[in-house]
Amino acid sequence: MPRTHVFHTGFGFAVPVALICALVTPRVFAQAQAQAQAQAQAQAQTQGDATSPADAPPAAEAPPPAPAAAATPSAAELATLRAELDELKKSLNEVKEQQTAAEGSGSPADDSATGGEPLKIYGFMDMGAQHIWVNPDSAVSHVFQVNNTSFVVGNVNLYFDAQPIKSFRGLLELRFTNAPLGDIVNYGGLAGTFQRKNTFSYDPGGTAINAPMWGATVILERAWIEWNEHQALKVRVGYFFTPFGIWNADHGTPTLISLALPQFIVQRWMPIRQTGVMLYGNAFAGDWEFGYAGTLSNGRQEISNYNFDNNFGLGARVYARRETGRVNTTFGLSYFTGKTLENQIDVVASPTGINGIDFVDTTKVAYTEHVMGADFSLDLDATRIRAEGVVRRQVFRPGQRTAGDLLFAPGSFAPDQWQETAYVLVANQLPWFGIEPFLWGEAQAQPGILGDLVLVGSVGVNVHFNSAIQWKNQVTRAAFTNWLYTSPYDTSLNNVSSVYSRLVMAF
Amino acid sequence: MKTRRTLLLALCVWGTVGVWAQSSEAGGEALVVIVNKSNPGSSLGLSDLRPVFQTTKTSWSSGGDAIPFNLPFDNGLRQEFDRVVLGLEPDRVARYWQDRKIRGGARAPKQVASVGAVLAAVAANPGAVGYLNAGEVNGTVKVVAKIVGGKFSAP
Repeated sequence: MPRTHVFHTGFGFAVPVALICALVTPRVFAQAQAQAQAQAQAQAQTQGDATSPADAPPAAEAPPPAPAAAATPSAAELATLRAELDELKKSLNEVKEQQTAAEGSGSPADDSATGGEPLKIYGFMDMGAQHIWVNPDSAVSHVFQVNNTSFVVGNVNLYFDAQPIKSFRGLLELRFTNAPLGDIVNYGGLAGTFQRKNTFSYDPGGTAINAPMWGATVILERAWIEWNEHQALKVRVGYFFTPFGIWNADHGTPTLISLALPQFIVQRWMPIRQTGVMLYGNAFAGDWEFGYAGTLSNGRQEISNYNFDNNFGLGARVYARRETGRVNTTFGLSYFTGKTLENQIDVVASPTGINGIDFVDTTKVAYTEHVMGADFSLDLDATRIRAEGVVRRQVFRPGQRTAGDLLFAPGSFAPDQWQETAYVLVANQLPWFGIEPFLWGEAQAQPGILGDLVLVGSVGVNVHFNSAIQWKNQVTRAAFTNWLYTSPYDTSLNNVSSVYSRLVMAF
Repeated sequence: MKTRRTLLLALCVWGTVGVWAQSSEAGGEALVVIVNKSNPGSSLGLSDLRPVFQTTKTSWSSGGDAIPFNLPFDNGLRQEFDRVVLGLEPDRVARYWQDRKIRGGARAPKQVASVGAVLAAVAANPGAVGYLNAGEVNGTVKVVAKIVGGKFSAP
């Protein structure tokens, strides 16, 4: 490909000659062949052959041309050839100019008068196998699908990236899942009859009336529209990932180094996504980029898509980043706060109410939370280091606490609490075959009936076959221990070991 | 006839050798960064140019949109440019933009098919910036930086 550009701008003499030769040579040979045919026909005519042209022997079978045709070209013939070459050279230059003009006018910048760009569709998916070991005597082993090796479809995510007009962009990300098929919806025994969720149906569009199918959930990962006219102030509206730390931004399997997730993400210490408005922007000072993001939202959406009152969730992030390719560094601080409510509305009989009924609105759960995070990211050649620390403070309104541990402490309520966690992940891509081993350590402290400190150690190997395909493998061990409090249970009973393997494709 | 063919064959061989020689010579040609003639800047530093091609910086310091134009991934000029300006080898460049997409970040620079198209696009768009071989520059654009032997410098 680069050679092509060299051709365009070389000395401008030998290049066209070579190209013209390629064009002229067949033409000259064709000329010679036509000349031979003409001579054969002329010979036939001069011999007084009375046959019609249709009866004449095919030109290809004509006798070889007379020796005179192969004579040394005269100066006149050479001049004619040179003129033909000049003509072809001129034509070639005209074609090149037209092509260049066409490519320029067809560039994306001129796609439309609105400055829009084509819709882009891309995504990623991962699938593989995993095994999670838990002590068979642990309650966890009966509640979750563990102690079996299982093939899994991990993530199947599709992005629709639209920019129909300059300065406005929309992004929709969907994840396709098999959920909730097979989930336990009732444990049986004291809880009633054991039952799994079944999404079975007959295919309403099938050619056979008894063709089975199983429905599944499509998850809205994000859906937003943004106005990005100004670098220092962009406005995003819709359903977006909370700008908090590294992990929640990296988000997807091809981008994340580890397959296993840190517990503050799994347990959603801050809302992973929010519905609302986000302002963000950046500025530069030398090699350093300084950026910010501020969010105003409904807060947590685990309970509802709606805001139950006018207490909005507020979030902020600031970062400093230097990306020079070989050395990339990011320092970030994130914060989220919000008030979360769970309201219950009872319909009660009331002689004074309209139509004899009334509504009693009760707040069952109410808490305020503050979540603070600090993150550090460093790429140094083939080495990648990621570290995050998060502290969360949760304070309940008296009498409006969430239920405690339903399995190990039924009837209890969650306390006001501090939660702290930190992890460090170090990966290094070796010079062979895209192999990237990594180490990950995580500590998480929070009040809990199974121990108040969880330590996680993990080792993994990612193989980057190319930019689109990775094979990710990881072994993880999580240990439950006592730190500030003493658990009434054997905390080690719930230790978990896991092995994951995923083939990942980005497209 | 035989002589004519011989002459033509010799002409072709000579032309081909000439092309090869030119290609070899042009391999050391400077790569230049060009902007629209209306751009008030006379030179661009690496720290100005890099974020523009990372699409994290979308406006010029002097004002107005910064619109970078890239050549295709497999283009030699593109690879040299990415190596010097972004500090990334081709395989890392692909991963860089792949990760950006997964994160939902800003789009990659607009990509055009050829150097001719870069020239035309930069000449036609006031905020545009692109790159090509020094020998391909004409009066429709302005050179603001150059890359010679893997080194970035003022024009």
